[in-house]
Amino acid sequence: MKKSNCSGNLVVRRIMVLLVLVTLILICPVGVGQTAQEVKLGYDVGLTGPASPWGKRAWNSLQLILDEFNAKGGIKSMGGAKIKYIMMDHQSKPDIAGSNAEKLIKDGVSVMMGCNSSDCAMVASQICSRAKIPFIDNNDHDPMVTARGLDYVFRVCPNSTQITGGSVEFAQWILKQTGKTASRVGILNSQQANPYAVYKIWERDIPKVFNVVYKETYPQSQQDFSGIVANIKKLGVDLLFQCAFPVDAILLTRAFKEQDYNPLGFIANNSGHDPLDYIYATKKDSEYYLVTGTYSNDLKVPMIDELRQKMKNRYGQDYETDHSDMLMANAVSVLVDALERAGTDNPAKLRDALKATNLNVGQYWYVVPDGCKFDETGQNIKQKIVTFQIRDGKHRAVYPAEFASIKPVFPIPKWSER
Amino acid sequence: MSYFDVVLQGLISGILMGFIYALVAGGFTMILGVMNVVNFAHGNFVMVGMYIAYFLGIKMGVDPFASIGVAIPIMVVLGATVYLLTIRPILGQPQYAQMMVTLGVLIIIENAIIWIFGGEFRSLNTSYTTAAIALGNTKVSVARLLAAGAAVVILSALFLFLHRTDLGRAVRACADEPESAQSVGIDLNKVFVIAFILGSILAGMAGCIVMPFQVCCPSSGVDAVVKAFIIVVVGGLGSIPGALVGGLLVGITESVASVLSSPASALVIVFALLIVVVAWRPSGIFSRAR
Repeated sequence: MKKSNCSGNLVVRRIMVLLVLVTLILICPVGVGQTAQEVKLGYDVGLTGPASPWGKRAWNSLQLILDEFNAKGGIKSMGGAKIKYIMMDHQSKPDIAGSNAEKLIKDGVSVMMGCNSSDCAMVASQICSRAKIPFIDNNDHDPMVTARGLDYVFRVCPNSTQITGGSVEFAQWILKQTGKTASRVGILNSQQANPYAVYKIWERDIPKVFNVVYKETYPQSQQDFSGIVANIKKLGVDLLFQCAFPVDAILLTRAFKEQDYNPLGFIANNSGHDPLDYIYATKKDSEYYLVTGTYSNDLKVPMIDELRQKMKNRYGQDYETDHSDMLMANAVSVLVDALERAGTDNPAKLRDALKATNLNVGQYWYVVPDGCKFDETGQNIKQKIVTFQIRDGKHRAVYPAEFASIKPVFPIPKWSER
Repeated sequence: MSYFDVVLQGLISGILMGFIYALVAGGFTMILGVMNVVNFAHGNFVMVGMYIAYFLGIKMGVDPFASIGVAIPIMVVLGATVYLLTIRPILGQPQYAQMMVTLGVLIIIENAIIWIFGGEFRSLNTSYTTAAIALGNTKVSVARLLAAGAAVVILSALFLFLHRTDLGRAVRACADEPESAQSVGIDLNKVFVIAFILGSILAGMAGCIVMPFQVCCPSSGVDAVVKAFIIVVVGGLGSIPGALVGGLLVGITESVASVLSSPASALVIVFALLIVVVAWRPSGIFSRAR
């Protein structure tokens, strides 16, 4: 009898344990307890064409960080799931960016990143949103990317409205600091998506604080800038705001020198003047350019040096990082953080986790002050704007004071005096 | 700087660019005139010339103008290969078939360049890249001046070749009256391959001479071929003097319109010029009877 009782208890206990286990499996979030599954990330980027100076670096950064992350065990809340990235080159062409997005979604990605070209991001993000796949924009600045009310679109970098505000604020500050007056201000931008968006904002905002005597846009195919520079000289523009793509940034800098145009300063809005490739192409002619953007290698953030060294170890000792590498580090941080919190790659749950993002510098690989928190449109409202000056071939932060590593040279030296 | 100086600056820049455009269009119009083939890959031959100059400049410090010496044999091989493998088999086929084939060549060359050099832009800094000569209040770019001078020399040599040599006369004869040329013993196939190679050489040389002041990337050829097409339509199909006049007209119009109105409207004005010329003389200013 006793033996029989023990045996009965054992059966009951086993049934109870089984029931508890089944209940736990049923009530736990999807993914918990699963052994290393895969999260498919689609990356729609321009490795060729005009946007390639940004795209190649972002792609390098993404591979470095995710390879290391996967090797260290992947997403803990998903049982060590690895992030499998699938890259497609959109060639800096919006139509190809769109077809890439369609293809990646068809291939089953649960989240997308892109595009390092606002024109392309506009198309790809819309397609992702329609398919209810979260789209994390690592480095595009056209305000319209997030201003269209697309529920699945998140931008980690600042938009042009934020950056242009920073450039105008910097211009006022530097003039006050140096006791100089800019009485005739000019605006010269490319007609490509983000530079044109910047133009519209500057056209509205700069006249509120400066006397604008010249404002112009030029097509992407513009190859000879001598006439444009002659016009700027004729009008006596003494402070020039610019937003270009990398190729026209180079051609314009050469034209300014060739035409011996000497304003108080050139203030550029990131885009074409931000990549290091601009410095590599123009060499000493890029010296003293003032660029308002998102990042400079000399920001006082400890993790920057660690990431720079890792990039050198992987891509060669000559490899130097710029904003494109680091903005991707931020975007990957946002993705990993959201996946950890969601515990699943279910797109809807991942979107909800992304909406609740509140990252600070130092978490994961987030290196650009002050971190990331999205507003209701999906725009990061936590990131600060930094202005740097190109000095000795390097980006050196000059504004705001909390980031400044050197005092800016202003007015910039004349071409003949360099 | 006065208003006159600005217009003068536009005019000078336009003339210099016009000569360079004419060189690009010269090769394009030769192939079109002799073989009646619209070579959409022509701009990519220019781009290949740019990469040759870039490669030699970066790796060996060769001046872009000196790199023409290396570019010519490369363009001969490239031109002959493209002609024999892709153009020759479709000669006499409907024009849309030829267009599709040359578009295919364009894509192949673009991707080959991406494979070899990568997709990013490339530029060269020579000692004269940003040098300028003062002309009153205006500045004349030394790099563009040298390129324009080289373009004039090359086009003059081509003109002399076409008018003073038997082979050149044969090329012209094939362009004007292919049937009659064949009836007097001119080998059309031989002339076609020569014309295609010559066109390719001109494009390659144009690529080399613009490299001191231009930036190249695998998609650089598209702009070049669009402009060449406009110039050839304006100047006259198959005419070298037409390419020269068309190049100057487009260069000056584009540049002066850019300073008088806006850079964006310059393109509109160039296309307006195209419409006016086509309406006035559908075969172009220097049209040749076919």
